[in-house]
Amino acid sequence: MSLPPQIQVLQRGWLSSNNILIHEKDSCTLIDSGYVAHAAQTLQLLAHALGGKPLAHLINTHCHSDHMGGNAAVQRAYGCRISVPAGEAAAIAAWDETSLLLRYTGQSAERFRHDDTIDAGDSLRLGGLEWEALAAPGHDMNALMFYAREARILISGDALWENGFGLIFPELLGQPGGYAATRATLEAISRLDIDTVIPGHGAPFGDAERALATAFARLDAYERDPAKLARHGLKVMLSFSMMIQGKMALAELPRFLEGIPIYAAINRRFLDWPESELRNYLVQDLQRAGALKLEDGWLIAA
Amino acid sequence: MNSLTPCAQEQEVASPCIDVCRMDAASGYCEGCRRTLEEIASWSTYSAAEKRAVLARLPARSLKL
Ligand SMILES: [Zn+2]
Repeated sequence: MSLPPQIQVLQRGWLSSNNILIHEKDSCTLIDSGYVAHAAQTLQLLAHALGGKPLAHLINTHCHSDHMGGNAAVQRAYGCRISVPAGEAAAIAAWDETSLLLRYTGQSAERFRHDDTIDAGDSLRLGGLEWEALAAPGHDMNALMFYAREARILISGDALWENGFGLIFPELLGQPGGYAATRATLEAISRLDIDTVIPGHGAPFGDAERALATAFARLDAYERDPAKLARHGLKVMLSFSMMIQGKMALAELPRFLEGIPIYAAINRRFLDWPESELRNYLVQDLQRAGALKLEDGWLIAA
Repeated sequence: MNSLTPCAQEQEVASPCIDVCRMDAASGYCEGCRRTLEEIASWSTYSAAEKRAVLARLPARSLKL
């Protein structure tokens, strides 16, 4: 697995998506801008990587907080054009915090203005390569992936990671069709010739086939037992919030969970556990997974 | 980092990022993982040996916060 030199992956963590830079001779395009709380480091990394070159264009694979949270800061710093997936444009223009899954999930992002949209089927010329925008519904019904057919590179966003894919939010939110869309997207990826996947989170990887096998197995398991998706979704949401907060008094947890609608909504829809059971499950299972520590009554992101 | 994180294959060297992602101006290190901007920006291009070399340097970097 190797990437041509004009493609630079700033590998971030989990709270911030990767930032992918595609260099031209005298300008640059960025794909995805990370989480708002990390915007200062994102700008520092960009300045370092650009080395004085202007950033002309910012493109989002989809408009979740961890991919577009830094858009406003990047726009202020570089005055670059911003393109969002066509299906996200209305929610971005209206800054619809519900459909952007911000307030509903306890996440935030800074409002920005997009300049234009990219639709599935569009082609883009970036870094001397021809990229096709492909529909990637599932995790986000409006998401796009970008595929360089000749170079056999897929920028997959949260549709495919080395070890899974992003939460199937439509199903978690009670909108049917999420599983079928996820399956269709994975099937579409499996029809592509791929040497390198640049995922939204985690390191770029070469073995797309192995990642697809993992993803299909996970999807099958969720579809067989949707409560499994629900439990995983709740843990991912709380783990994400703990990364934002760093730490939280255990005694605060009930009020915290009550204040963020998605926890009760998922619990009601899939699990129907008493609140105390939900809390105990989350705290114990996230400790077991190594994502949380409990010290002197404080929950600490690990 | 944890089982919820999209982790790389086991034989690969995992990123030390712990999602703090804020640079300490005085030291020039990330407050979370203690890497420099250069080490974060270039991480994905490093070989496994280079990644291990960066990881080995981190514990000695004291943070002056
Ligand atoms: Zn996402």
